[in-house]
Amino acid sequence: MRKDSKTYNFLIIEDNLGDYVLIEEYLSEYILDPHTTHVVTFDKAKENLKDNGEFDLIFLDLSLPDHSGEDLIKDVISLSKGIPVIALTGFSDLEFSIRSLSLGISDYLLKDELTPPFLYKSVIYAIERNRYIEDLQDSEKRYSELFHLNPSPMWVYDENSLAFLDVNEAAINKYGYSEKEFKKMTVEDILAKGQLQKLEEINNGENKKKVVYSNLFRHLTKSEKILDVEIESAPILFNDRKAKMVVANDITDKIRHIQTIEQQNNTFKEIAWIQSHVVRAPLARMMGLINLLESMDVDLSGENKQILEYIQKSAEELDVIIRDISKKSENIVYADEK
Amino acid sequence: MQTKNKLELLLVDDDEVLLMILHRMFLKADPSLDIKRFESGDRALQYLSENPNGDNRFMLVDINLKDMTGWDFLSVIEETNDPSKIILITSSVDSTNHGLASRHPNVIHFFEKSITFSIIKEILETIEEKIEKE
Repeated sequence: MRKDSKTYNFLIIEDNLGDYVLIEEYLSEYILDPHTTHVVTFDKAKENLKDNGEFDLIFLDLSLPDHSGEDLIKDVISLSKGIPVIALTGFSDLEFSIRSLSLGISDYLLKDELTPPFLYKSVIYAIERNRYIEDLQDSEKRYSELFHLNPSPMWVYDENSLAFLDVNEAAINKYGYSEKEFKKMTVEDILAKGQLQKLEEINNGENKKKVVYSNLFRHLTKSEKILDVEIESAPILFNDRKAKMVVANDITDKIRHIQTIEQQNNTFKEIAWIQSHVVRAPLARMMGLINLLESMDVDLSGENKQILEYIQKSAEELDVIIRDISKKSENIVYADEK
Repeated sequence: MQTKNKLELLLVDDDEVLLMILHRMFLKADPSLDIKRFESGDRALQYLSENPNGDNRFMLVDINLKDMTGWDFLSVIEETNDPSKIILITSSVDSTNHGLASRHPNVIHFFEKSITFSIIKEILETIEEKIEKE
């Protein structure tokens, strides 16, 4: 038979030398090179677990000279930092062994019934299941952090009752309600007037086919401040309830900026219109008058003639300036209209 | 001048000073012109409806009249099939006006004031050319 060639480190906490030898022998039958560390007291086990956390599995005899019973299990489990623990028991402890599973023991083995394949199966099962559970806990933690530490306000609400099921820190900070308050509220409580209808339309209407929708909403904070928010929402199952997960981005400032710019732009258009139509009218009149004066062959003496020429020159310069401004503003106004 | 009939020239501009300038310059360029001044689009249109026979009629129309735009004025003229030839004038320097002007068949000329004596002569030459063609 081919033996398992992976490296395993076992900590065997067992005061009965015979039982320890038996376990080591049985392990060797299926595992090529099992590394075992043998301790006979809880104190020694504690030292080993503190110094060296690289065990793959712990065997624990439930009656040790310096510690036993439920407290022993609890202490070892807390020291094991996630390493699976298999309890070794005699017949007399059977009932207690079964109960020990709820304390975090991976498995219990009756020493009198132990066989090499059974032991090997139990070891592999405990290690693999433990790894799987750790992965699961890791990913759950990652996703939970992604939600709870997300800088954008997020929440989960029940699709039918609209009740808040979970909220993150950013939402609590943005809306001013505590988590406790949120969980007694529904989405309706943070919607500004007229917004509920919109939400219902989106949830029931044509958007239903779209799994993800994005929309603008007006929300109210606890202090009744109105927020313009961009909502992104997606359906999820939350504790077996049909729910929606929502990300709300506050775009109140963004919208205010855009409005300011739009106002400025309108004023600018007005100025451009004034430049092009109003300012030039009196200038055109002035230039016409100068031309008229010239065409009338009025006999002007040397100095007066020069004065007229200067007036004309100034008017022409002003004309060039107005045309220049007008051209520039036209470009901007038309670019805006496109 | 090869025309037998006297040329009738209507000046339509809400700017009194410009009306005066135009009037005096045109008279200087051609003292035989029959010049009439209108300070509003309405008055000009009223005159046109009362005097429909204007074969030798030309008009200088300001684009920015107080009571209507030159474009409004033009569409009324076009609806009534008035044969008057129109020269548009504007004191604004908005370049879109040129494009709009070319779409109207009655418009034979377009210029931005300021008015110089040479522009007045140019306008009269354009009018004479039109008359010779017809």
